[in-house]
Amino acid sequence: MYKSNVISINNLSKKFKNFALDIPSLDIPKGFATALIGENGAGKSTFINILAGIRLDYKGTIDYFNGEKREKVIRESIGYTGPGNYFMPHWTIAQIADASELLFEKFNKDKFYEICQSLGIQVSGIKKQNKGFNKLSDGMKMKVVLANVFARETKMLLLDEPASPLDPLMRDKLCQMIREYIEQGNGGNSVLFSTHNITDMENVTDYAIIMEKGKVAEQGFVEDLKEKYILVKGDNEDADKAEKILFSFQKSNYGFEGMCLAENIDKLAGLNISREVPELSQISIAVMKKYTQLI
Amino acid sequence: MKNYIESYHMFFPDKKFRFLLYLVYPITVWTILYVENIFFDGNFILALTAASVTIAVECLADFFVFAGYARKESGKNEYLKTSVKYTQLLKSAFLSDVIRRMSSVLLIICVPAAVLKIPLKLTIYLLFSVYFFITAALFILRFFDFSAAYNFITLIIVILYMFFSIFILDKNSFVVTSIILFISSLLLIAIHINILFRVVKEGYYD
Repeated sequence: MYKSNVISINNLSKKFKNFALDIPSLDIPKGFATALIGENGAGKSTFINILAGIRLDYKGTIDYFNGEKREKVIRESIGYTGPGNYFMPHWTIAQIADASELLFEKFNKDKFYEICQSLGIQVSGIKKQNKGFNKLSDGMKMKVVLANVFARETKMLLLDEPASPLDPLMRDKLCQMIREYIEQGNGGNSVLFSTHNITDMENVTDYAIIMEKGKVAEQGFVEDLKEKYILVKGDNEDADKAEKILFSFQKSNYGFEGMCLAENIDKLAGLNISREVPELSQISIAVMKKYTQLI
Repeated sequence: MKNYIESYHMFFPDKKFRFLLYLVYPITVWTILYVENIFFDGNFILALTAASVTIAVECLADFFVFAGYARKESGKNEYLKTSVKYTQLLKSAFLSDVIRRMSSVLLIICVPAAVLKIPLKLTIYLLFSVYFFITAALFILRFFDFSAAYNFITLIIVILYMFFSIFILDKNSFVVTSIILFISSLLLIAIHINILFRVVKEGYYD
């Protein structure tokens, strides 16, 4: 389905006191939007920070853009957004634009202002946004951060939780921006974003990586995952038999529901069940439940 | 040169700050001295006033530019860290800051010294002592990122400066002290910039 990878990882590990990121091998396909899914503390942000080059204390090798070795080319080709203290707290929109011009060679100031305007941030006139970055609302902060990263000429975007502070309308706009970015690259642009809002982001997700406890628990193209897993629903009288076969299982007074691996579906023959194609969010929750430490 | 100035200004809170630092600050110090000169007679009082105000303003102004930069925990550089030019820009900004401060102190001290005919020895002492005390203060201050620490340490530094100057006046050893302070300032700057860059480098690690 895809020819090359934008990032290839080998034996990546990063140890903390009570947590370890451990990814023996992982490829991120080029030209697609990849969602990084996992519960809090799964290692998503650490992973993205390592890929973005803002965290260098790791072991292993990361191959960017099919063997590109020049650090300058790699850094200039990657756009990163994070949920923390991103810009300097006092920076206004104009200062962000000026600083970005200094920091990145392919930053387009006009495009930045244009995107800001399209996202409802006034950059001129009486209602011009003059507040410092730390005085903006969380949603507005993320809009400015996104406008900034989309105003650069890059080959890959690493977006850490971009959808969390956004309203549903803006999430839809974000999906549109990601889709346009990938289309404009003619197969050369890729996006990796972490998210807890799987349902909202599903329509833009081509590939999914589900992380748990610092490890990749599941990965694949969404269409492939939807073939690999089947959502099964049935009556409680078959619950005990089904539970032994299903990948994930949940029972209520009205019946049971669970995720079944396609390779095991024949084992449910004879049971009174209905089969459905699962949503990515349902697959993600099933995988996370399988490995979570939550009770 | 343009790049150096732009890099430095990147850390300024806003354009008003430039106006205050480059224009309002020297004019204010000169005005204080002018008014004081009308009411008091004596070079040393004028010199101490100029020196104290300069130290205080330089220290307090730094809060808006490089506060907390010597702290590893300072996590405000996430965006900057993604740029391959970050270290170079920071280097340009720090060097511009050193040069700007030298020029400011030179201008603020020498202009009134010439007008008020302050003796050359005392003028040289003022230049190097003020620069040393500011450098020493910033060495400590940049480990803090809250205004109370800046205010308190600045106050202590100004008081120390006054006692030190009275002591030097008593000893009448302006030239030797000036040379020692000048060399010490250069050493402190070198160590300070080294620490700042080590902290920046460590920011990429745990």
